Amino acid sequence: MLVLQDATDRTEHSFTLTDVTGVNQKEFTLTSATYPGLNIQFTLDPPAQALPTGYTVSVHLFKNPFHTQGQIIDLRSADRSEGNGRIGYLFSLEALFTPGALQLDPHRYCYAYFGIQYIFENVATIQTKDADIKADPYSIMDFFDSDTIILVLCNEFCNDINNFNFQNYLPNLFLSGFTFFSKNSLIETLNDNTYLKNKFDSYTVTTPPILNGIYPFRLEKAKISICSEAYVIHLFTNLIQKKFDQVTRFLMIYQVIEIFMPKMIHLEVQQRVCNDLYSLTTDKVKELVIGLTKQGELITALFARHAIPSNELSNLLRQEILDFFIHVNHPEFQDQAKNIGLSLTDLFYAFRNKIVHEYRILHENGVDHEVTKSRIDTINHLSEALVAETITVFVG
Amino acid sequence: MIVRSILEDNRIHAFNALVELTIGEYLGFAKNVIDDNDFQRKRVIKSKIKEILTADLLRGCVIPSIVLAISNKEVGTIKSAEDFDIATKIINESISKNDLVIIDGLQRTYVMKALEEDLIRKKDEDTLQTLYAQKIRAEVYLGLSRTGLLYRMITLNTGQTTMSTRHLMEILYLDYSRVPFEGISLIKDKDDTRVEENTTTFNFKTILDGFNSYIEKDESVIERVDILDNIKSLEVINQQEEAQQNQQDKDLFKTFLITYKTFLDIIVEKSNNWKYNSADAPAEYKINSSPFGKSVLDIFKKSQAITGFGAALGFMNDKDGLTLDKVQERFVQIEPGGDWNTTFLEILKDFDKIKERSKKIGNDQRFFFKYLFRGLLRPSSDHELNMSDAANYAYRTLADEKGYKD
Repeated sequence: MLVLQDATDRTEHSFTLTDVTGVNQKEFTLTSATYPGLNIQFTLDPPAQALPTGYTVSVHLFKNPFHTQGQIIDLRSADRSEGNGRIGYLFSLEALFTPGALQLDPHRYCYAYFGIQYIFENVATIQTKDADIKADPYSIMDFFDSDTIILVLCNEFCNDINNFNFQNYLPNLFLSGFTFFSKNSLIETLNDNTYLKNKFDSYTVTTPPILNGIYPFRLEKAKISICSEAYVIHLFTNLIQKKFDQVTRFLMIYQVIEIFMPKMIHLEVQQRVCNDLYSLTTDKVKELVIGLTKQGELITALFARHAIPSNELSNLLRQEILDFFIHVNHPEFQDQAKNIGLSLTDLFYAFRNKIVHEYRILHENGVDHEVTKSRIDTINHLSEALVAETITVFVG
Repeated sequence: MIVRSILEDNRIHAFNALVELTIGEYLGFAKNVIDDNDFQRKRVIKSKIKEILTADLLRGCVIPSIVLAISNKEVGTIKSAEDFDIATKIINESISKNDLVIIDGLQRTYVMKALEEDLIRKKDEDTLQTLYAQKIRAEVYLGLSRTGLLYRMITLNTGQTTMSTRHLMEILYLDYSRVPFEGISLIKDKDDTRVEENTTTFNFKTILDGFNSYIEKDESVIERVDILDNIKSLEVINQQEEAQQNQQDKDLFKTFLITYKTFLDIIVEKSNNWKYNSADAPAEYKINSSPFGKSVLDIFKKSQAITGFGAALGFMNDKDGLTLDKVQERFVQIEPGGDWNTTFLEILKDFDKIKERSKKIGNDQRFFFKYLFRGLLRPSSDHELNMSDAANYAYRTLADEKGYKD
């Protein structure tokens, strides 16, 4: 369904799909019960193909700063054992209506067709732009931003996965640049850090190169114990798209680490104490348990044993935080030799603590504040990648 | 129908005849105007306003004048404001040929039509006859040029649902899609006839896009709805039509289309009607997806090419005084810069790269064509009249502008 507003009194009128015609290309016609006489028409550019029966789809919106319009992402899930694990496709919405932009074979065409049909038929509108009633022909871009990417999920394939919820895969998608959005969560900022770009390139820039424009992307198994946490879903559906001041943003991201902490206690106690209880001395048991009361130990456990981030990401974030502390002349980080020995946990936790307890370091005299802000932005981008990756690779 | 008064409009050089007629007479021809004209049918009625107008009509209100124009100049015009008889004859002839356009009053027309249908459905003959007998006034513009018609439509539509210049042009040039001119047929999307792979049939919408690009000097198809922008565009058309001193028919739209047709005819002839053959393509020109076009005409009859052409020529007319007539003379000098097969394969390879790298494929393709034609046709350009060089220039410019990474 699409919604148009009367420009004079702002009354909303819903337009739903009432007809699909055309032999070569399909033309969709939408009409409104409350605004007779106005037909809205869209022509799906790729030539029509035969459509299978018995399939339904759902559509979700994303943006990705690395994605080019001609790329079609073949989305697969390690949770689906049937076939090759395919659950859907990601298309540029504008490209589907741009003459000659996409050539679709019958298989891909049906996803595109059903996805467009969903947008026009769904009982609730998913458009992200307000559109006024006008006399001119409409473009799909009157209702959606031109860089909108649609994820068309095949419901029947997704149902092969127990308790499927596509929101569980948002962190994994985010890790290669796909940021979810909706009308209620419009994108105000996108993470375009090179680390995410490299992840995107890992399946789009291949050797040998993929020539047909279809790029398979396999999602890891969803780690339900963490990715279904209410805050994690809220973070990736409603928060990460928005602009916040830098400190708030970091704390918003760090909150995910906090959610991991109770899980770390359980896992560490289980694995390092309970599983080995009678081979441990009582002193050792005490040492382990007391260690678990320190958040630094729990974060170490997380990054070292239960959700190991890539070396590349660890090194990048570690270095950025260190560079930040050196930039703001923090006395604890002026010894280069000592800094070499600091781990990601040491620095990440230290950054969190300094932000909370020593906020004033962001405004030290004699320090270039623009550089300070820029460094925090980079740390935030890498931290977003870190939590997305931690959730994705979590073994728990 | 009676002509009551004729005034001369010196702004748009037309006569305006005020006529008095009954609603019955008006609906007799107005329904054909709406029904046969796809573009006028798109105007919509607000439900609340419809209710109010309907009630007022039933109470015998006097509605403001409907404004009409005769769209076909062949019907002729009058020479003075005293020619009431000739004016009547011209208007009646236009009615019989359905050569009228509603400039203002479409909403009121819809309301009258709907009321008539309602009364017929209810078999309320008395009220129907009362409605038919009610008198209204209409202003009919005689001898109105296309740009004058467009100007009046823009200024009279102020405050209502705004139409873009593009949409107004659809209405303005609609009769070219009905009757071929100079052997060229313009095919609408809804027509049964297909656009053939030749230089005598074109998609009406695509040509309008190209013409709009020429006027706006912009290859993108963004709709411009600001009234002042619309009026500025009209001034451009007027000025250029006046500047076409050597031509009897100064219609700029026709000149634009004929210019493009001339380009196509020459390139088809010079390239021996080149067609793509993947088997003939050397390894360095192998493309990864379907080719952008499989022949010269398939490439250059696409909207992206025509809008790029329009934007380039609009730019060159503005900056270099290169009118459509002058640019036509240059086409015959175009050379491939090597051989035509290699040149077109290079262009197809460039489009393949655009598909792989572009974040907005359609826009980038149009941009490419704009710079292709600028490089090809601009006097003293480094790539002048050399298709291969101009194509390389166009792709390099695009890649730099859009930050393509190789």
